[in-house]
Amino acid sequence: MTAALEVRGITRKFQELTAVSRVSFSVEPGEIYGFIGPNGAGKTTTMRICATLDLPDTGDVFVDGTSVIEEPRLARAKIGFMPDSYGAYPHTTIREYLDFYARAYGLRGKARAKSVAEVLDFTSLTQLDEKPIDKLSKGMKQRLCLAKTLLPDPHVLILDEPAAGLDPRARVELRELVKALGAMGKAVLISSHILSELAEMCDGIAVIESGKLLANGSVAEIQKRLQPHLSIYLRTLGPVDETHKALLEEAQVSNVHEAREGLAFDFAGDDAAMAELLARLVLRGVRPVEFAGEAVRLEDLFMSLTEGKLQ
Amino acid sequence: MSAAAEAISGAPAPASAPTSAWSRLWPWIDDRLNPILVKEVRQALRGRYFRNLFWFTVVAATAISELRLLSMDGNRSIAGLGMGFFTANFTVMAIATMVFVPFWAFQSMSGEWEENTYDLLVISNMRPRQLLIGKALAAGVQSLLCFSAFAPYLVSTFLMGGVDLWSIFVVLGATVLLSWGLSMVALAVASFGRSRVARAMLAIALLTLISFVTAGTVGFGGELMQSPETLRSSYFSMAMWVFLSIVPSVSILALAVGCARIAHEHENRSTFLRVIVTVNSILLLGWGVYGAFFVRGTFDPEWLEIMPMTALATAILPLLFFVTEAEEFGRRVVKQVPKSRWRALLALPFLPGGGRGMWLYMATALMALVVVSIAMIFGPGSPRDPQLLVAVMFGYGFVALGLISGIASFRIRSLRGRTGVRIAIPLFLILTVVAPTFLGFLLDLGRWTRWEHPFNPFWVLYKILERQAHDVSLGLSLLALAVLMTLIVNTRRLWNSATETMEASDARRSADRAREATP
Repeated sequence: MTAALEVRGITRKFQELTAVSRVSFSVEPGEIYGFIGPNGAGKTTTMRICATLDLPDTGDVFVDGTSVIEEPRLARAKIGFMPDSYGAYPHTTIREYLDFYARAYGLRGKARAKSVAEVLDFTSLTQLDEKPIDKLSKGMKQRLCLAKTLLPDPHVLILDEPAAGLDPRARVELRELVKALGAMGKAVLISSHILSELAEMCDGIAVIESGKLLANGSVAEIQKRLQPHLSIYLRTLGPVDETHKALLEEAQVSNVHEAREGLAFDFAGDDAAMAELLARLVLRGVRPVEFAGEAVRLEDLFMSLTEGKLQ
Repeated sequence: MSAAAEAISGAPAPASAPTSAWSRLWPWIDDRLNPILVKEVRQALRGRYFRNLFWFTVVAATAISELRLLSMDGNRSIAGLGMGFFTANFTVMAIATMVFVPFWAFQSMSGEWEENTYDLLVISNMRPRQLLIGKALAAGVQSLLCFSAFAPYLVSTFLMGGVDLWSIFVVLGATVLLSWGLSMVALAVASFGRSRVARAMLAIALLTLISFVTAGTVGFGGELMQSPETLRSSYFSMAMWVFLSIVPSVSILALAVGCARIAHEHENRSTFLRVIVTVNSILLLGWGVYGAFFVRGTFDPEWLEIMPMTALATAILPLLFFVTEAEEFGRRVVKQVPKSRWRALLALPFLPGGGRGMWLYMATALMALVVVSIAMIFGPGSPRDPQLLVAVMFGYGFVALGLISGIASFRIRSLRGRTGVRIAIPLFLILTVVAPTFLGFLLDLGRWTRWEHPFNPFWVLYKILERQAHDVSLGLSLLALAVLMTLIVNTRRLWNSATETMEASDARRSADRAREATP
């Protein structure tokens, strides 16, 4: 199957600075892909290349199999791009703004009216359609830009820092909208500095630093690659000394230490081995209250992958 | 809500079925309106700038008329007062339509950079020319609205007497044309200002330019009103034809320059402008042929001198940019080279690249020479020799554009190098005229101190126009030498540009064949 968005070995230099170096990844239809990296890592440059607004020195990007270099106009028709900073026209209402872009996208007559109504409905802006854009809050403006991005019903959405500057409620609402778009089968490439937000909605991530792709894939895959063992937390009734001793005797267990009210340890086995371990512990008289693999936080992954290099 | 009102507000029409022909026709028209025009008109009607401008013009026109009437001697008849009324109203109208409207166009384009909205337009698949034409049309609409505010007053000036109706039409026609032309120039100027500092400097330059043109137009209007008999002179009709040729040419070229400037740096910014420049040259040459045979009723070869000169004058600035473009095709542009070898060859002068810019120049020069020569064959015998003038003129153009850019073509790869060469070319031209004059002072060469030296192309061309070519034989010999030198320094890039085009065409064909062969 053709990937909805395929970035194939792109490099982009600005004089002496290599902003993006041989970056490759792909996003499948319906997949929400987080693009993370420190400031100046090359995220925006990569996204602008994907959106046909910049050109790589080498490599190419394919949108539903269409090259952004060879056929930028055809590719644009399949892309919805929401840049990190954008302006809105003064003396314009929400409906007029969307009507203008619908015309620019070449939508005519009833199709135009239908598209505008649909995106207003999707972003819950229908009630505010006659409100001037100048009077909108940041969150509303983000929704409006997302509505504009959705007008041509793109297959691929590229959202550059859409949650920047939003209050918690607006962030949650935006996250739900993005999830809904993924559920509609659209491929979404989204960058954000709020990693907890991405962790909750992304099926996969790509981590970039100094223009180089450090890792990409699902969060679990990357975690497995970085840390082949699983961190487990165990809380028991009674003293922890016996449990500690029992754990140390297990071959697949390492790094046993006290954590909160119980013990934490690394386990190098699969789910079946984990179930057997638990059974053996119970047989030895350990009375577990909590036994759980510790959730990998995207922040931790990010910190272990990146070095904080600036360029 | 009417269908037209719907287009303005963007709100959907009520469900009732359209009944009149207009209601059925309007949605069809509405769908085909330039989106930028719709947006700009909506914004302008709500914004303060246009509202203030419109009411200022209405109030000013009314106030001028009232004051004029109040200041009249009570016993005097109003007959013959039209002149004063017209001049006052026309001045206000000219300021509104030739200063405020073009400056609005400039601000509107600058706003796209300032407000960071340009990328959103590009991603919406809007072409640069759609964007600029929409803005130019919106400026035209504003101009027409201002004109409509003045129409009743201007008509009343004629009824008062003392004003020639034909003069009113000529002056107003020229103002409409200039207003629109200046708006297009303003859009082109705005396309250069991506940074705030650049925008501020460009705004000052533009205001200076449009103030001069407006002052000139007001002066011209006043002169024409004073002596309407000028309209009937053959000199005026020639000047009017030239004006009617130059203003649309410069306006359309400005618009094309603007389109090229706002296109993405990786896009093909050159081909559209090259086509416009060529079409413009063809139209001006055709206009020259028409003028030579039909305007005065007898064959007048002066047209065959003036129109090629106009064509070269309007094309020289874009050509300066063409011949100093980076030589190699960009990654996106190389995919636009026609696959057919013959088509690639025909497209060669229109594709980006300095060498291909030289091909375009040579093709234009050849076309001008052929057109003038054919016209002279069919025209009755004339002592004038427009072919020589055209050949010499284009010869100077060839040296001016090709010598420095050919020598420095290896420097043109970087933006800094290109800018340097673009500045060096006019400086070189100025030097060739000024330095020998200065030398004339040092060596006490009388004629050289009066700019009459063989290196001065203007003097050489003037002598040819005066049918005194024998006086400038040294200048012509030097020109022939310079043309030869220019050809030598450009041979390599002319060859490379042609082979690169053919190779790109071959590569596209091969890629197609490979794709077809892949199961």
